[in-house]
Amino acid sequence: MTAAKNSTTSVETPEIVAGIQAQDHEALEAVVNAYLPQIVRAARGAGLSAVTADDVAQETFITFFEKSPTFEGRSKIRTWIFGILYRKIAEARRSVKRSNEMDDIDEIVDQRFNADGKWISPPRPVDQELYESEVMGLLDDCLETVPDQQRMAFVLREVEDMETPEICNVLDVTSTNLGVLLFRARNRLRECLESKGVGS
Amino acid sequence: MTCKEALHHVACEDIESLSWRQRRILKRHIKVCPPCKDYADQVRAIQRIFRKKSRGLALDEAELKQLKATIMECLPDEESDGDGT
Ligand SMILES: [Zn+2]
Repeated sequence: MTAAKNSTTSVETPEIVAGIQAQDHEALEAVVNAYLPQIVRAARGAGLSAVTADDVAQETFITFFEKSPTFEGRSKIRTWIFGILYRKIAEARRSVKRSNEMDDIDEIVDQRFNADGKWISPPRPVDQELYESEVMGLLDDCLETVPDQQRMAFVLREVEDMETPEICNVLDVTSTNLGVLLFRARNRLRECLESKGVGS
Repeated sequence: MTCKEALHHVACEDIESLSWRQRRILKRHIKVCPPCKDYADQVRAIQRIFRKKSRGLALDEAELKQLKATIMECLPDEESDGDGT
């Protein structure tokens, strides 16, 4: 992790930004070197198949090359590229599978509490070790139920360790919206796993 | 702090927006309230496993090299005859 972080922070410089605007090959290549692994990982983490994830990563960088003269350097380079990736994923998923539009998770969570905010249907206590090993096997199925934007928020936070302002920039949402996305992603996953009897 | 509020803070991850005092109350609540502790433990476990799985999705060196080569073929022309200087 530390090595990866160092190599990526090194391209976030005014010189590279100027190089990107001038479509300087060395600068563009440095950016590809720095962010390609993360972009592919995030595309796969977002639920794309390996082949589609590679295609989407490729398209992301091609768009990055095309748009590079217009990059103003107001955000980090990484934020900009992840923003492109996010839009590419949304396009790819739409053509592969209809996105899950209904969002009943808020109601499901609400129903676990009474009017005083006390649990009426608490989470089932689990054996932690058993829980983790079963989550390992069933998480992929449950991830399928998480809509794209929520899933991407979860990927950027949990896998790429991005801070709130950067995720908000990539997804073009407010920090309150991001809280809602993460709330829904986490609860949807936990509820799904519980419904599959995980850990009991 | 009610259990429902505690769950919201855990799931929305808005701890940063809480005052120091509220954070302590939340921490304490999760520590002493078994269902909220179960909930928080499960969410943490899910996140840990998701991280582990996702990081395992990274490409190996050879795949990365090949994909990079394909991408680099699409570099724009360096001599831009655009707006001049
Ligand atoms: Zn509680």
